[in-house]
Amino acid sequence: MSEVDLLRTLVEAEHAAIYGYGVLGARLPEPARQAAREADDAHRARRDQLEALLRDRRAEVPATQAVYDVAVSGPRAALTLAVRLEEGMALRWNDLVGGTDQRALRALGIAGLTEAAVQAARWRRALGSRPGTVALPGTG
Amino acid sequence: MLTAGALAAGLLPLAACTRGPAAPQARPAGTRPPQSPPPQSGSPGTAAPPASGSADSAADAAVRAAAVAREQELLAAYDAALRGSARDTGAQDTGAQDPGARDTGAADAGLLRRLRAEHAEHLAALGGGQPSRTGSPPSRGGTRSRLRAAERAAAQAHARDALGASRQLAPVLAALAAAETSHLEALA
Repeated sequence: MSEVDLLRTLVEAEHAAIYGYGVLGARLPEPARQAAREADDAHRARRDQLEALLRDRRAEVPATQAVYDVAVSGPRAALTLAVRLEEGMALRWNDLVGGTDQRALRALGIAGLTEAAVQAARWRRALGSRPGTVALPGTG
Repeated sequence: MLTAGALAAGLLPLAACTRGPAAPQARPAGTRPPQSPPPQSGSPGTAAPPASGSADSAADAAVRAAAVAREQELLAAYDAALRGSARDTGAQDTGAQDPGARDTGAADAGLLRRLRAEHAEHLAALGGGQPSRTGSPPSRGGTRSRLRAAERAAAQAHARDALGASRQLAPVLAALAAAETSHLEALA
């Protein structure tokens, strides 16, 4: 997969994550709802960064879908979805790490993977798991 | 908008956030793609130690050895912390002054054991090496801060080395760096 394809895939994943946080955040009570807002903000910032990288390469930027296939029935399902979103992002970011030799893109991939791993662990702890970490985030 | 079909199907994956060999596409509700086959074990995100018959480049071998050493040091630090925790819990058992403190000690030990187990997985992902048994018991009260410092240093080193590693080794190091960063909050 080319670097442009990897970046496009990440943008598509960020679009989906942003949509997912919009859905799940509404099902969460405070303070988890605020945490979801902050996670959403972080994903929007990464999406913007990735889109800029694509524009720099004169590549087409994927548009967000009108709707995504997601349903959340309550707070616990919302937290579970949040974990899955972050785990999915971790996989995508690590694909970038292994799919490029450019140090700047590698560094971006490591940063994104780390953010996703840390956020996933927070949501797992919110679900009651201790310590909430996994040994090899982003490796499937 | 969410369709009834999507709701009926329960918690469906956001396709763009799930792994599959084909380029994922975020799909509108009600248009789920067929199930994808499981990820290939050799895909970049699951890079494993070199299989028998293959070998690291000299550069990768050195990077891998350094990462193994870091993980061995972390294992030794956790072993020392667990020895100290066991000693402290034993002292509390004999004193029996504060059952709550004893519970806290047991919870701490459980957390430390789980994090240690993740480092053992890291060592295995790097292709082996035996955990070192060096390391002196930390003083009471400083255990978590010392472990946090060790985790932070290892995460930074793994991330730095990932920048110049091969495409096979870099995702492993990146995963280790991410895991160790996530340990920081668990130890807070």
